[in-house]
Amino acid sequence: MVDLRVILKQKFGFDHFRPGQQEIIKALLNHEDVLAVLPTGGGKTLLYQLYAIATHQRVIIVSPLISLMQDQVSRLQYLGSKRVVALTSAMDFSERRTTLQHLEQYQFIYASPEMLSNPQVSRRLQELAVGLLVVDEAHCISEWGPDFRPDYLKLGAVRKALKQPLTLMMTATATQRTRNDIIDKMAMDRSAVTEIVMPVNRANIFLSVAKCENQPAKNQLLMTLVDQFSGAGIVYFSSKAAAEQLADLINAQTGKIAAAYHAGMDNPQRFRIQQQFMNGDVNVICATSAFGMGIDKNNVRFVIHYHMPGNVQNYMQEIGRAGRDSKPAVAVLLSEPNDQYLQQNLIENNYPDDDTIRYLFKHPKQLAANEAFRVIQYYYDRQQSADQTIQQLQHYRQMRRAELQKMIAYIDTVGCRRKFLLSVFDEPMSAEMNGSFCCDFHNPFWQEVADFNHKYLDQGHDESRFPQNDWRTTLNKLFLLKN
Amino acid sequence: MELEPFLLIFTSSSAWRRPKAIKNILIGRRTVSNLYWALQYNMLDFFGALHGIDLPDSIPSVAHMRRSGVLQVDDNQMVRRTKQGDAKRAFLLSEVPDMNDLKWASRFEVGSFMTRFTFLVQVVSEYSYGNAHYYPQTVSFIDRQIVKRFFLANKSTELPKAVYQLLNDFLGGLRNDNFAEIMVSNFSGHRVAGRTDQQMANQLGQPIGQIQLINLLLSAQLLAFLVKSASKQVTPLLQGLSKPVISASALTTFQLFLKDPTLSYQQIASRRHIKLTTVYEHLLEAAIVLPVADVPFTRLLAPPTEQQLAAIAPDQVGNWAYQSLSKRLPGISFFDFRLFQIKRARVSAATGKEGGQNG
Ligand SMILES: [Zn+2]
Repeated sequence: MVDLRVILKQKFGFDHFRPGQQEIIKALLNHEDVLAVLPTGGGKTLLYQLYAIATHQRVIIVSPLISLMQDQVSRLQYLGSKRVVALTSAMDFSERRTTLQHLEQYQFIYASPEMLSNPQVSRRLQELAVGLLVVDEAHCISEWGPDFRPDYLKLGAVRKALKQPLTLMMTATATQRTRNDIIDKMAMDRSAVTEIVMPVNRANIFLSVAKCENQPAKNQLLMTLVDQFSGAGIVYFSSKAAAEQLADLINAQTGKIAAAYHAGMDNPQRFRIQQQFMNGDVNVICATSAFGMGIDKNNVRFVIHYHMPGNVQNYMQEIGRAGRDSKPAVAVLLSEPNDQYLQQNLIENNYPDDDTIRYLFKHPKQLAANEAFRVIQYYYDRQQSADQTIQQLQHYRQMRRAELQKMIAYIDTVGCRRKFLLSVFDEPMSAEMNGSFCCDFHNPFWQEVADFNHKYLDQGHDESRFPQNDWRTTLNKLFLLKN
Repeated sequence: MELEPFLLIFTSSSAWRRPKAIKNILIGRRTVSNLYWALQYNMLDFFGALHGIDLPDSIPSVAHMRRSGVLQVDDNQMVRRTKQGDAKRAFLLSEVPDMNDLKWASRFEVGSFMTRFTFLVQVVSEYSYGNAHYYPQTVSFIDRQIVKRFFLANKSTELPKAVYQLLNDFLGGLRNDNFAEIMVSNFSGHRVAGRTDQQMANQLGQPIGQIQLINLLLSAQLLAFLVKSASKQVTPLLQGLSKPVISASALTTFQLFLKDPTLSYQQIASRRHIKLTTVYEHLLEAAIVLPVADVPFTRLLAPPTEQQLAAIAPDQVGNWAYQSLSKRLPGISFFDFRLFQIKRARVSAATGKEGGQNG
């Protein structure tokens, strides 16, 4: 039996496993298929990396987003694994061909579900020995509506084609119903899958909400908070334009340095912002929701939502970026009356209207022309009628609305916010939680923000500034030359 | 990247031009039509200089430039620079490096070059600090392999100094210190994050489009600097970056045409297993892009046909429309007509009569 602790120390430099990690790896080494629910920042990458080191086997990782995959590849390379590749639609033809030709050189192969359904890719993968199949963000299998990825449903078949390798399904948040659904859709046997579920609760993150009168008041409060909070922070927005505007406002009106960070920026620009945030040149990142970052910054002290996310699951994931060093951190949700309409519109606009669906069923050739019609294409291919499809989409839209209502209820709740959030995940409040560091229900947080900051967030470091070097100094710094 | 600086530079104050054509020329979509307009607009040297770069649609850019008074727009969506536009263009050109260096971006994939070079800077920077534990930039498989191979082949304590020296020589030779600042902002390395174009725009108080243009021109200059440098050591980094002047297929057709004067176009088409219209396209491409001395214009365009066309040609041969001609000379093919225009543009440009339309 391999000594996991020795590998952990030697390869990763950690003395201890995070909660659940050891249990999951042991189950895998015991050849048990695992469905793991681990909070964001719970060390998901380490699970399959350590398994690969211990067994010298190849791992295929299914991941839904190109940006997430590239992040994971960077992270693995950072951790010292060089034999990593991501098969994505962003590759051009010759690059994909070259990569496929040399695929046996890679120990970690990332691929989108669409890529795995590609016959050429699938054939190539079947020629390789696969030690572990990892399904990341496994809740996507169960998710419906416009974000639904039909190719996730083919993963059961993909697994079969790969001769049913050992499988690890991972997600940050999933209710029991979602977990059952994931296993069913993977065409696996519920009784044969080991479920390891870690608590969703992050005890070191203080929860608070501010209801503002209108947008100017919200902007003002954001400025005040950013100015007062010590350390690094992330502010989430639901649009690129808002992220950019408020980043400018923070730079103009506060003593902090902010930078926007979103999918509209190209790779090099995003990389530079990431590095600035890592180095502490930039204090605040203004990011669009659901957009991954390729870095693990442990000392994020605050996460502020300028726009509420569409559901509580996303909210938990996003605030999970705070306090990964286990030191106190704070999550603030800012809301104003118009916010919910913004989210409602996002939901409505995400669904094709009934006339469009009827039109597309009569002109199916146009289905293939637009990525946005992927969902309709799925129903069309399964020979459903237009009316059935409309009904089904109505149903999912309804589910989305209900999820949003839950998010709004969180804002309106007059009791303990943690208790409310955890109840969504069928998780009871643990006994160790007490009122002294929980949420703004027990604490007069809003009257004492400065004190709170001083007591919990201020770690005595000087606020960093953008280094104002001229190019000659920067060159010297880059190449460790002392003139 | 913003389109407006390019529209400002490549429009004319004396002739109407198509903004869409200007964009297509810069992107380098290799059609005879785009190449023809590149010839007419004096932009052949810059064909494909922005290949692979995301450019916005030309319509909103033109609308904005019309509103700010730098462009006139006619009913056919053709544009012409105003006096105010001329002044703005002159100012822009004084603020950026030599525009002629954009031709390097036409001959080489400058974007891939910069990806490789900035990645190399990061790798060498971390190496100089003895750090093997860092987040590498996201680059394609091929670029990664090339940089990795280069690094492994040259890994020594001298390498950081050599890269430093190269950059110091290059940046020290720039006429404006701000150019050096903008160039260095592209580099990330050990505890050095670099700056985004937007951050540089804010810092220097310049429009972001101008920063992007400066960056592109400097990247092209750095590439030229390496190509011209005597050091053979850097050539592996440039592997696969050069772009052909003419497409391989057009060149094959043209060479067959040169080699055997007895072949008809139809015969060339069947030998090459291509359509007759494709033969015409290939020969037109060759007539536009190859050196004038290499193009047998008299063989391509029979002198009697040329004389017929010359007799009725307007002053502005470049904008002469085929429809208006075919009514007067029904026997003339589009192929002959285009060749006539190409010959006029190229032979007269070569003798210096009609050049410099970009002034
Ligand atoms: Zn509470």
